[in-house]
Amino acid sequence: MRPPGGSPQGVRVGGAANVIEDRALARAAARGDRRSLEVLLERHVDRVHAVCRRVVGHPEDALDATQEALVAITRGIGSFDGRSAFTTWLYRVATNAALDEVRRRKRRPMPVEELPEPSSSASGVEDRVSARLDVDAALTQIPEEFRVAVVLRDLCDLDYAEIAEVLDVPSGTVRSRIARGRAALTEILGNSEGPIERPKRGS
Amino acid sequence: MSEPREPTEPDARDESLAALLAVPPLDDVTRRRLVRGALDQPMPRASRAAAALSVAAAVAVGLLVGVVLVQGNEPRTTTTAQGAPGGRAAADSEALEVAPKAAIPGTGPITALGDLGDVTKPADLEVAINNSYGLSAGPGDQAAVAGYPCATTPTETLGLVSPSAIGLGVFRDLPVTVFVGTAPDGQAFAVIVRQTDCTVLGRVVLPG
Repeated sequence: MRPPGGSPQGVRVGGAANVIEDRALARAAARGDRRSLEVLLERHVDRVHAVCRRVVGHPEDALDATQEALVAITRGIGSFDGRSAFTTWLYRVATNAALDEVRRRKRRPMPVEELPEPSSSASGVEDRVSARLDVDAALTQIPEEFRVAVVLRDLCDLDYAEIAEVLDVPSGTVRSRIARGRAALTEILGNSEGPIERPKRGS
Repeated sequence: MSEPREPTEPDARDESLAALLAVPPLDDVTRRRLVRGALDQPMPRASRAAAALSVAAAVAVGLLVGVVLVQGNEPRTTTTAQGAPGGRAAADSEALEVAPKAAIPGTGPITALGDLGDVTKPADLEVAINNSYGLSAGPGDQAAVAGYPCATTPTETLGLVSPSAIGLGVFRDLPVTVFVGTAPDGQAFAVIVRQTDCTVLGRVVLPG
């Protein structure tokens, strides 16, 4: 059975009640209440996994990153001070765990894999299926900074201010990264593999 | 003059991209495995910070009690010069009578156990008491003991003949003070007292 407040497909679960309840649970968990922590983890595990899945790009590695993120939440729940929403802190932990996994993956020797052929168009229903298959490949081709920003905006439905808080960058930077990330993804999914500009520091 | 509004549309969620990025929910087995894996980790001892604060507060209150005692032992000439005749001096002599009872009335030395964490479950309470006894320096710091909330709860209210230790904890999210001692029939008990009004919330039998 899905726990209350579960988030199918990473869709945002809002509501003041949930936010307040998250904070109360987090405070209890910080005091050592294991049951509160369990409820929090069960409630948000899909959300954490969705971020890791799209940032890491590989199903098995995404599960490793999800586990790392949940462990980090368990170990770090005492540092959650309640000044921001619990989900903001959660997304920060998840994003960091996913990026750590990406970096670990880069250091690992990997067999050369053939990427799936990009679809010629992502507009039709049939093409959408293949585009979904391509999306992992496309995401891995755009810089991490763009990828994370697009995932937090379009998958997690965070607004610009929330993303700025999660990533600890100015809102303008978030806006820029999302715009460039979307443009790059559209270009790749549209079968036009032009060079993707790396973001400048602070942009 | 108002600034021109920025168009909001570019900031909106890209629904077609959202559909492509959507991730199916985890199956129950995987979800449970991940959550269990995280819960197997030791939880933070965030209560350590709270414990440090509690101990610091207890020490501060203890020092304050000490200062009051020292002042009470000073020559009366100082106090009588400050207040109306009889007023302050009378208060001082009253303080001197009350001060020795500032810890737990009618008891011997008490061991300060510090923070016991979540004591909602009797088993956790028992373990925490045992561990804290192991870490405790013994009944040496009676000033700190006096600083514990509800430290002056009468032994009759606690139902204990002789409390031997006192600690702090959380019981069902409520801050509580825990007294350890012996009941008139010789049975060892931990008595949980709510800090807000010093009422007894429960008693837990401790093995001999």
